[in-house]
Amino acid sequence: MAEEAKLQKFIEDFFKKIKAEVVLEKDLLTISNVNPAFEKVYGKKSPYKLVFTPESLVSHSDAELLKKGHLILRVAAEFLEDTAKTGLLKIDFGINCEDEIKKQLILQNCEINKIKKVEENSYIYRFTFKTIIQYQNEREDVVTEIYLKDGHILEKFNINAFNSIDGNKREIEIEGVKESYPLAKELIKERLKGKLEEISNKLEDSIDREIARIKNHYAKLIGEIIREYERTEKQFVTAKKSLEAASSEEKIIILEKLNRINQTIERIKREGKKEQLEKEEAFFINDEKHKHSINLKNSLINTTIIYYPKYILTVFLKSGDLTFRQIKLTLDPMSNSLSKINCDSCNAELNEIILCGSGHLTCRNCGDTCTCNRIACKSCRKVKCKVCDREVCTKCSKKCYKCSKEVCEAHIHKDFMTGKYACDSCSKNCGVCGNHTLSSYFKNCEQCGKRICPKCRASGLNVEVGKVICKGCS
Amino acid sequence: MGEIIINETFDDDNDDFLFDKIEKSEFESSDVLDLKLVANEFSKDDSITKLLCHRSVQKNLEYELPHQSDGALQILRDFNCNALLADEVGLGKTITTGMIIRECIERGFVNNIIILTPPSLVDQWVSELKEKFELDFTIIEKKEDWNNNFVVASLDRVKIFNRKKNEFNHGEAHERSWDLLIVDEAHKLKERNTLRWRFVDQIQKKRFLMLTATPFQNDLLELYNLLHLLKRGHLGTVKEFRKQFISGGNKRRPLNPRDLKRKLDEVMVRRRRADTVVAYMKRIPKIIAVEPTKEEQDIYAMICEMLKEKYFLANGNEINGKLAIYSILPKITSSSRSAMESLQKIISNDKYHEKTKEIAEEILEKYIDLKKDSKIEKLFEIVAGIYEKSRDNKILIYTKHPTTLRYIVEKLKPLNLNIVEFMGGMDREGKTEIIRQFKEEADILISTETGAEGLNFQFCNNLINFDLPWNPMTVEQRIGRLDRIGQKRDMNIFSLATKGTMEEYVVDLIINKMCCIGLVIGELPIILFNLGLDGNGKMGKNKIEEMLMEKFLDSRNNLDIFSKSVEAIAEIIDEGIESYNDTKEYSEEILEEKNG
Repeated sequence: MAEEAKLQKFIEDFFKKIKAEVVLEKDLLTISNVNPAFEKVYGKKSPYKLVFTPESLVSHSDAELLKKGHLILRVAAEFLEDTAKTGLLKIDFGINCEDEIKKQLILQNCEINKIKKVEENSYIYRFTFKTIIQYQNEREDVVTEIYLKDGHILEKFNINAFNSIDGNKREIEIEGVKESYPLAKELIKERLKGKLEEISNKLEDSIDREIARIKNHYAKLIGEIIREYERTEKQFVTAKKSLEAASSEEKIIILEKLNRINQTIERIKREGKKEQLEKEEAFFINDEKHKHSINLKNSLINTTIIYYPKYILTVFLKSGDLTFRQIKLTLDPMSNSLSKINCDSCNAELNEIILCGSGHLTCRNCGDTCTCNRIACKSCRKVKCKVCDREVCTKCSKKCYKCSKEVCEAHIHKDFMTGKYACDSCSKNCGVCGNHTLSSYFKNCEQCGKRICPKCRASGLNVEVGKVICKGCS
Repeated sequence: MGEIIINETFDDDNDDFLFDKIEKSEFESSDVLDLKLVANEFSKDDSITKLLCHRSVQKNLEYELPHQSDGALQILRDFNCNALLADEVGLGKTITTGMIIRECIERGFVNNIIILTPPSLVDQWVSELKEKFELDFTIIEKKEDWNNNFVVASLDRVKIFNRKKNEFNHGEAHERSWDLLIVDEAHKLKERNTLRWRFVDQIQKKRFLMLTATPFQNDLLELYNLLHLLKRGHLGTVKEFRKQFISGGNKRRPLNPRDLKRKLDEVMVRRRRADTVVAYMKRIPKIIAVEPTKEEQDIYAMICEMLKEKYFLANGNEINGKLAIYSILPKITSSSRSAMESLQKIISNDKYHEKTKEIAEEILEKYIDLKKDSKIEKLFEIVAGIYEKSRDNKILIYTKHPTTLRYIVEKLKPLNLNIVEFMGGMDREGKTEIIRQFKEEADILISTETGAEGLNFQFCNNLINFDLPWNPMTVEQRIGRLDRIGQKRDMNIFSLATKGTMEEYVVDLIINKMCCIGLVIGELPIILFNLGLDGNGKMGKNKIEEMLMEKFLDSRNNLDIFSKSVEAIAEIIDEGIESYNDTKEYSEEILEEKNG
């Protein structure tokens, strides 16, 4: 949004908030019935006629052009200063749990029959700091937001990326906000590092220049003292040399001179000017450093509790063969994550749901299609047919009631006599009716030679006693 | 080379309040925070293109003078508040500085400020900052006062060095780094080997503003010393400076004026009156001689005699001459009414000797028998004369004493004019109402000094000094009520002086030789300051006032002797004025060509 538009929106929102009358006609904003408290601080009674571009001012010469830093904006800021210290926001994700599950888990052989949902709040604390960065005659105000969740910083979190609404204080539990604050205070320094580096770079040229000026000045002054000392010393040496060749009269004069020079040397030493200048230099360099110092003043201007519901879901799954399974899932809409589900057999993480015939969750490795065409997971596929050696699911295997061996469905038959199952080894089928029963029940027809079950054996008056004959032959 | 110091503070004053609100589940709507953040963003115009304080300051200033706000802006923006503000006298350096201070505070640049001024300006600074800029500054009187963040100190007071302890008595000034140091009348720092120079030099400061209209007076080295204090090495070492700018015997004219001006431009802001919209009106002195009657002359002689010879305490001790002069003489010379009141007090007070009381009674009787009050009659004439010229004229009459004030009101009644009275002890609203009345309805305002202190009557151009304080600064203050920006006419300064009394000479000295000699307002204090005559003397009165009183005592009422003494004082003042004008001339040569 262009600055002018943003400014205009702010003015409209602000004055509406303080219950003033705001009328926009083309590019002229007229504000009337303003709160007297505002009028008093602003020093002007409403109505206020405001425009936001210099062009608009041409057609509304009685209006004021509103620009950054305008008094009305300063008064508005002052007016809002003590407000909005705390806030409560709820993030409304507006999600459908079933859809979200379906997005994240492929339901291979089942569907969601029902979901039971329980909500549990998750909290994010937002600490908004205002930092006044002041250096030389410059000032910058920086607003920094720090988001903390479970004692950790959320680095790239931006509340504006979410649909949020004012929260309901009855929905939350207030715990841990104050405890998180010291961490936020620590983090603010970190956040401002970049800005401070930028300013420091800006100031470095100037401070270097000023310190160089001071150093150069004192180097010259100290140089002057050293040169004076050296010159005096030289004078001393020269005078002393001339003493040897001097006449006794001259000697007196030279000795006086030497004495004077010596006094000068002593004075220079005594005054300690060099040390004094060095001290002074350090003082002014320090002064210059203070002139170029950066002052940071942080203050907490708002603390907002942001919360959103995390869903604890009980999902009822139903497969095509009417197998049911109930699973627990946790859906965190912030991270858009579902809690993990694992294969019941190998514990591998699953991104699809395959229900075995017994209702187990299975991965593709652990699941197989049984002879019965149903999916069987590893734990269900336990039986090895004693006849053909194939692994079959428990549903597809039977125990022979005669020999107690487990065999697959292909190798077991229902004993029509008892209604129980008997394996191929223990049972035979009747040559006449085709029904199966235990082998021991069969006889061969003495006429046609067929193996006949007790039901197909003829009996009665026309059958000779002790003769085995099938009903067909009788 | 120089690492950047970062001072971080946490303003956690409101934190408990904030967390308490959370504990109590008091939450505010999120859109208010959004508004607040946007307001925060838009309300700050970080670039220094205009004074944020302009509106709040403007309402307290009577006139809008663009050069003042322009200067403040320039110093803030271009000089980071490290500058020499060397505007000509009368352009309002204090106002410009006040704007800088207020702006610095409003923008959050400074948290502490120290202002060093001559002793006579301490109170003025504090009241100007309070009235015009709504800022509270503390005057440094004792050590604990340094705990305040906004302070005004008399440099003469704080620079005192304790040789035994080898430290400044007010070393506290050096113990912190000040955000802004201001030195008024900074030309007093022209000598490097002085305590005041050392005191200022040892102050740690982030911003340094020096104020003076005359950065140097007799020697270019004074300018060097001043700038050396402001910015080390800016003009090189003394040797380099001498080599580059000072020619053989001439200490006043630089060798390379252009180079010097260029260097000055880097640290100095100076505007001339000619560059501004400020108009200056003339003060026309009108000394009105009051011819006393024979009886009045006798009374005057008796009073002098009493004070000189027969002024004793009940125990017979002579009352200190100076004390008598200070307490009795001004009242007696003010008006016959105040004289009678004073005499009455002597008569009824047991502390006085019977002889003294007797004489007082005698004088009082003479007063009662007086047929004519020449001074009040003269006043009557002046007032009538002014109104004869124009009925629209307004007159401000000053007297030192409330008794005289009431007496004048009573005596002027026959003129049928609308008169308002103004005495001390009024609050701000009361004062405002009096100004309004005087401006809109009344013809005459009669006031005592304390009454009209700090008030502005630039709509009136007639001032009558019914009696004249012996302190030229007080007279300057009186005239200053009229001689302000906004005065559109020349001002008539009437001063009554009774012939054959010391008043004649005092009025001549103060009016004709000091206050009405064509100086611009603000120049006389500088001249007196340069002469060391701006402060108080041993008796706690203004030095010139004390000098005059002393001379009067020494003269033992011999007016010839007194007049010679007054002449001597006038000569000192003359020299001061001459030296000041010379300085102005040299300063103009060097400092102002840069604007041309």
